[in-house]
Amino acid sequence: MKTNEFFDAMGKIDPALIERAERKVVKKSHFPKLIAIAAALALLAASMLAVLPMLLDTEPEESVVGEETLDLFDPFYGSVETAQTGVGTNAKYPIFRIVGYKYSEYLIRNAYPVEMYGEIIGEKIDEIDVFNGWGLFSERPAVEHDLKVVKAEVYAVNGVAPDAGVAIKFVEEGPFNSLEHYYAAVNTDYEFTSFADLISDYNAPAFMSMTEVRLEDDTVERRGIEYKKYDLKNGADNEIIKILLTLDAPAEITGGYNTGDERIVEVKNKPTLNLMVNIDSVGDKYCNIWVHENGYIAYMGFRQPVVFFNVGKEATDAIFKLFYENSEHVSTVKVGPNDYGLVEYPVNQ
Amino acid sequence: MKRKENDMDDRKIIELFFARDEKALSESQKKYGRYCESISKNILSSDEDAEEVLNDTLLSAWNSIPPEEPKSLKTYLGTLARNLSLDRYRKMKAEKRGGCEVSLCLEEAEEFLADTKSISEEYENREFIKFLNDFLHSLPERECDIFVRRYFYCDSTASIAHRFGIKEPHVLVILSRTRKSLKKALQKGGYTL
Repeated sequence: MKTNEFFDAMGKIDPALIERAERKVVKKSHFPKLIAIAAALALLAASMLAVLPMLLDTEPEESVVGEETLDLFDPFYGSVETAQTGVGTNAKYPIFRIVGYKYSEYLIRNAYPVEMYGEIIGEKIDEIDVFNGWGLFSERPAVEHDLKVVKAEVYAVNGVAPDAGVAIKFVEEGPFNSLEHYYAAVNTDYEFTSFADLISDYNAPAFMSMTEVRLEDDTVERRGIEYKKYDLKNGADNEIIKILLTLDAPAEITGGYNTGDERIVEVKNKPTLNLMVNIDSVGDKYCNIWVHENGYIAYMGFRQPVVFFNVGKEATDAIFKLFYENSEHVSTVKVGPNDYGLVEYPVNQ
Repeated sequence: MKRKENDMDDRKIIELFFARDEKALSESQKKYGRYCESISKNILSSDEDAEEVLNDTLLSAWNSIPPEEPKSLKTYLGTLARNLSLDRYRKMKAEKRGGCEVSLCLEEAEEFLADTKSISEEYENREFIKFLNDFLHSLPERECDIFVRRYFYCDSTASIAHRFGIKEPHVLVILSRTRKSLKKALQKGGYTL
C-alpha cells in the first residue's frame, strides 16, 4: 500500500472520530488548589450516588427507528432486567473480551446461544476471565460502560474442533452477561488447510444451511457494489449444499480478491455466485462462499480473511447449473457509503 | 474553539447551501474558516497556500452540497480542507517544493506500510476504509484520538502533547505502539504481501 493510499483512506474515516479528536483538549492545571476543590466535589458526588438512582428511577425513553424495532428482549442479550432497557437506538449490547493470549483471538458472540442447536455442549476444557461490560447502539463512537472481569468456563462443542470454536458459560455475574446460556466463541485466527477440514472442523454436515443467494455479474457487482438477490426453488439450495459438503481441495490462496494472483484476476470479470450460508453451531451464521466459473470457490468466515480452494470446474459448473435452472430474481441491491461505512439500498427495478 | 454567539447554526448554513444562496459560503468561512486553515497550515506550512485551500474547500462544499447533506458541517469542511491540502502537498512535492509536518507523517507511515498491498481500486479502497474504521474504533479513546490528530490533522507531536497534556516522548510511544498494532492488523486482515 502506498502512503498516499493510506492518507487518502484516513481522509474518509468515521466523521465521529474526527470530531472527537478535534474537541478533546486536555490542559494541565496550574492551580493545585483545584485539587482540593475536586476532592471536595468527589466527596459530594459520592454521597449523591446513593441518592441519584432514586431520583433518576425512570423508564428509558423508547426509540423506534421507522417501523423497525430490534428484537432485544431476548434475555440472551443479558440478564432479563438489563436487557429490557429499551429498543432500537436505546438498546444495550454486551461487550466481551477474553483476557490472556490463549483465547485472545476467539470472539464471543452474543446473539447465538449454542444450546439452540440441541444437546451439543461437550466437556469443560478450560477456565477463563472475560472483560464484560455494555454499550449503547446509539453511541458513536462506541463507548464501553462498566467493564468488569468475570470468570467463565470453556466447553467443547460436540463435532466442532476446539481450535475453530467453543462454547463459553459465565460462572460469575457481570454487568451484562447471562449465567444461563452458553455463548458461542469463534476463533477468528483459525487456519484450515483444506475445504474438507473446514467442513469437518465446523461440523458443517450437521448444520449447514443457506440463508441467501446472490449473483454478482461482473467486476463491480461481484465486489458488492451492486448485486442481485435470488430465491432458489425446487430444493436447489439443499442440492448445492450437498455438493459443497462433498468437496475437497487444499487452501491455495489467502488474502482476498486483491492478491494479484492470476487465478483470482481471471475470475474478476466473470459471473460469481455468492452463497451466504450458516455453516456451523458456533455462531458463524453469515459466512460467504463465492463460487467461480473457473473451478475456484472462496470462503470467508466470521472476521476471517478470504481463502480460495480449487475444487474443480466440474463441481462449480454443477452448482451454477442448479442455480440457473432453479432461481428466481427477487431484487437488486446497491451498496454505497454513508457516514459510518457501507450501507445497502434497493435499486429501482 | 469557542463558538461565537453571532455564528449561524449549521443547519441553517446547510439550508443556504441547498437553497443555492451564496451566503452559505460567507457563513461557512466565518464559522469554520480558521479551523480549515489550521488544518491546511499543518499540512502545507504556508498561510498563503492555506488561504487558497480554504477557497477551494468552500468551492468544493458548494459543488457537493447538495446532494451531500453532512451531519457535521465542521467535520465535513475540515475533511475537505485536509484532503485538498494533501492534494496540493503532493503537487508541491512533485514540483520539489515543501518540507513540512506532513512529510514526517508520510515517513512514519511508510514504516508500517512496507510490504502491504495496493488498494488503488475503488472496492478495495472502500473495504480498507471500513477496516481502518474498525481498527480505530477498537483502540482506546486516547490512542485513537492521538492517531487521528497525527494522521488526519497532521498535527506535530509537540502540538498533540500540548493538546492532551502529556509529554512529547509519550506521544511518540503511543503513536509507535498504535502503528505496530495497525501493522499487525494489516497482516491479519490480509493486506500484506
